Amino acid sequence: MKRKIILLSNVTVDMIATKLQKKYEIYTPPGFNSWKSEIFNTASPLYSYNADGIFILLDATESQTWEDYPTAMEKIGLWGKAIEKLVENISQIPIFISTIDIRMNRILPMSNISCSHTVEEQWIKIIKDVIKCHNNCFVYDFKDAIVDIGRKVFYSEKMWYMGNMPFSRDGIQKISDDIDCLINNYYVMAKKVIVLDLDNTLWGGVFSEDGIDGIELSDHKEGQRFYDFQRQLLEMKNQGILLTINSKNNVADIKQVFDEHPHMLLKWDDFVAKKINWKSKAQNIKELITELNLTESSFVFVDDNPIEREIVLGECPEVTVLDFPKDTTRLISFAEDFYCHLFRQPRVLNEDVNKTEMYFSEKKRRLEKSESLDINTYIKKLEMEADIHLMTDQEIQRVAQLCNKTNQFNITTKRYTEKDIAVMDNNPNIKIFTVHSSDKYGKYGLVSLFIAKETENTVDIDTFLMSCRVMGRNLERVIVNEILEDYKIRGFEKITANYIPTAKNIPVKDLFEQLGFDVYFENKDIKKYELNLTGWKKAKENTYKTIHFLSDQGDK
Amino acid sequence: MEQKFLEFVADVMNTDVSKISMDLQYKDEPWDSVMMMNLIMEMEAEYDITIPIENVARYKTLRDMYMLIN
Repeated sequence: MKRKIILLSNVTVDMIATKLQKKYEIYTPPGFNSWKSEIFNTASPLYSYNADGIFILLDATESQTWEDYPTAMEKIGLWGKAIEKLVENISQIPIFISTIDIRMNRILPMSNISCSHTVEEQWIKIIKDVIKCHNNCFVYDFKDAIVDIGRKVFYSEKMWYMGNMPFSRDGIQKISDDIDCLINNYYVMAKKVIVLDLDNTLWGGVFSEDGIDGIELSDHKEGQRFYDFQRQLLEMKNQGILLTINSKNNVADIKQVFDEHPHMLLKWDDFVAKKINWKSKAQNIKELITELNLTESSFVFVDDNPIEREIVLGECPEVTVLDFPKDTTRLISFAEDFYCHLFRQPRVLNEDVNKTEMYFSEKKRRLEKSESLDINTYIKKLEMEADIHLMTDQEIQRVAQLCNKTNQFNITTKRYTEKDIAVMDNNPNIKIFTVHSSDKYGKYGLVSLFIAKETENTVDIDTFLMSCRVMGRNLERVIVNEILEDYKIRGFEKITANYIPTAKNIPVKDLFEQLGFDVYFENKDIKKYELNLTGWKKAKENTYKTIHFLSDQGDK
Repeated sequence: MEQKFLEFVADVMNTDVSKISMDLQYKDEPWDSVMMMNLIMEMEAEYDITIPIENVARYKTLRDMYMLIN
């Protein structure tokens, strides 16, 4: 099924729509520059189209006729008013608002400076205010796209005079690609891990041949291309993307580069896992998959050596293998490009920022586990805490993120968007429980989601998922125990649940059997369970330090 | 040559080549004003020509457009 997109613009965008129609269903309001009236008319198709995303693409070609600063401010003020109205009415689907490229009259004497920059800044301020207050609003940096290509290539005067369509063929292509990329970023699951080679990838040259003083890495001139690439990677790491090393070298040599090279911007601990050995790189990636407990398709492999890339491509078919640029002066745009296409998230949440550190805590936990005699002793030693409550409005983004990222512990793998979650939250017969957890090593954050649909005396578990970082902590038992008891107290008699198998959710294949449910139907596509609450008793739980449970709407 | 041109036009207009002919008139489905702009833009790129804006009003059929590249 094609996703549906609405394009709102003050110029003709039919040609962009034609380009996008191969992949999307597109709605553009009829008539020229009718986007504002379409917004103010709440009976317009804009509000009933049931779109997956709205793009507001504002062209400022008309600014050539704006006489002065006050006129410009008045014009963009009106645009701002229309956007305020739109976001008041639409809160459940992503709205992308474009920055603008003001091209004011250039017939100016040397003593005058155009106010176009000030007007663009003012528009950015308006967008920022909207984004701050509405978590379904995002920026489409249209100005940046134009600067990237150049105005002389991006615009076409001929098209403007023929039909009020200001963009050239290249401009249309760029806008269509950007829209496609942003919609993908929003709806398609982002990658999680970058697997990096070292020699000729993070620095120029080969350490074992060139030595620490011979490798190319510096904060100026030629060696700066690798320094800049490292800076981009560090930026990604700070957004929660995991960095790993996969290199054929001796660990001690590499440690020396990290410890002693003055321009090694990435530090040893910025890498969540390191495979520095003489094994095959495909083998190392397979080990990383197990070690980090992630799926193969979350991995992206970056290596300058085409033979290594070919091997990984053959042995790990789900890993994304990137074409490393032959011309390493292009490393910055290479990094920007793969970030935008594979890793960009709508926003960076608190749960993302410290991800690398969280994996290190996880290592300490594993050590503790290996020293514990049994699982219960281990959980007790961790001093686990669980906080189960009804979802608050501030949690919607994280909940949608979990729905779209969680593969393994996910009984039905329903990929709900923020919009779907908000709709369910408004339904009095649906309860959305979120679970936060922590232990003595730190907070795990919001790690589990339980969506219950109530009908008369039965509750159906629509969704039950858990981040893999808390698997193996008995948390699923704690959650089900608390929620079921609450339903029992409130007079419900039966709980039903489904397991819908996918290639990845094998860990929860027998979850409900283990929790005491009975299977009443099973085929290759679904396993159906039920549990009679009348005969059910809450299990005694003594491995958790604290369990906090609130099913009261007043908690919101 | 003509067939190749028609295939090119069909691709630009997101339509099937069997639905158009050299006698297709401007303003007949699917050749509206947006498609005219699309066609001019794509022809300029594909055949490396410049189509002067003052001539556009004279193009009545696809054959007229085809003459631009022959």
